Amino acid sequence: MSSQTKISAENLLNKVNAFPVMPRAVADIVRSIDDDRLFLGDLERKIESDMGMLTGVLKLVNSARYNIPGGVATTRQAILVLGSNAIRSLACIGGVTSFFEQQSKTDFDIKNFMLHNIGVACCAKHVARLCGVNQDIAFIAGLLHDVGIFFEMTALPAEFLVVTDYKRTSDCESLEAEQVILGVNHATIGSLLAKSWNFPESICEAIANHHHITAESASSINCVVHIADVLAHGLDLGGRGDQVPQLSSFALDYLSLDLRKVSHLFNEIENEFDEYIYTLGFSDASCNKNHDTGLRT
Amino acid sequence: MKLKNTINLIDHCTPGMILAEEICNKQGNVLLPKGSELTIPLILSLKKHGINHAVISVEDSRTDEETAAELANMKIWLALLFRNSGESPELALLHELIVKYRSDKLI
Repeated sequence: MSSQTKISAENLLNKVNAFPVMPRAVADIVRSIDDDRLFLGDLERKIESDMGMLTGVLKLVNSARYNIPGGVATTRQAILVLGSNAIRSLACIGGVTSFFEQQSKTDFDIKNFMLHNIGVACCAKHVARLCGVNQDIAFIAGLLHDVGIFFEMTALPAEFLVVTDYKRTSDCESLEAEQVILGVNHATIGSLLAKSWNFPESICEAIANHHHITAESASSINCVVHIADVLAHGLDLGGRGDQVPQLSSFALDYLSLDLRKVSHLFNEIENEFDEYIYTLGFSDASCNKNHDTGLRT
Repeated sequence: MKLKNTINLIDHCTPGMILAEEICNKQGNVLLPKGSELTIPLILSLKKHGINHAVISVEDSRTDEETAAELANMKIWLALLFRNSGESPELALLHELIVKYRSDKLI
């Protein structure tokens, strides 16, 4: 069975190149993260040219999290109030979510999948802030880290079913199941896809290495995204009940991060996550029992 | 009567609820003190001020056994999530920290 589902490198590359590209405006915003010279007018026009980004930004800016008196009605106002870096992150949530929703022709649960991505993005942002790493790059890298799984759902739906079956029956991580069934894992596929979309090197690297940090692959962003992925599983953001993946002690050492310090962020991370999914209308898909009746001591 | 605090979205607040914490606006001025009883005009006015959450104190109808059961369920669930952590001391620590965080929230 597994030999029939294996994907050759050539076949995979063809499929990656034939895969729908992310809307230009969304991709441009992701590409702009390394670029401090982004003009406000450009950012504004790009956000307004994509329905998903525009509605995402306006919904999120007007959410309780920012609590802006009188509310915000235009993109320009939103950029002026929150700054272009924060707006880029919010625009990406909106843009990526609507792209994923439009492209998915399958029965797989995109909402649930997005919940995990948003969870990792929140964790990445807070961990980055704690370690003095660029929190906006971390957020966007977290949002896109599993883009390879999205590719599998959309471009290889039959094989993906076999992968999920294998994962369930042998109770292993996605990575292992993919390696056995497809011969390639979602981290590799995701980074190929990100490269074909001309995403910045830092994002491609973070996607490629989010399950595996070695001395060669370690960088601040890679380590932050790796730890954020483990945290999001541990806190069960999105409530999928997937097992927690392995945590690289190398990544913790690289950032000289103490998990005890991270535990003070749990509450803030969960609140931010709840706020995003409530604002984006995902809350009904979440099994997060603590949502909006979260107990305080 | 045991009390517990819950964070409610303003949209889910109903008249008669009692505030467990004061509500402040963005500038830090108190809009409503702790212990206030919410009414419809107050809820509307809070919304106008851009307030979206309120901490409400409600009767904790859980018996000690129920609380203990919730704690036990939470621990079972977390053990399931961390089922394949193996010997990793880092994951063991993370597991312990999350159990502590969830227990503090439940009690």
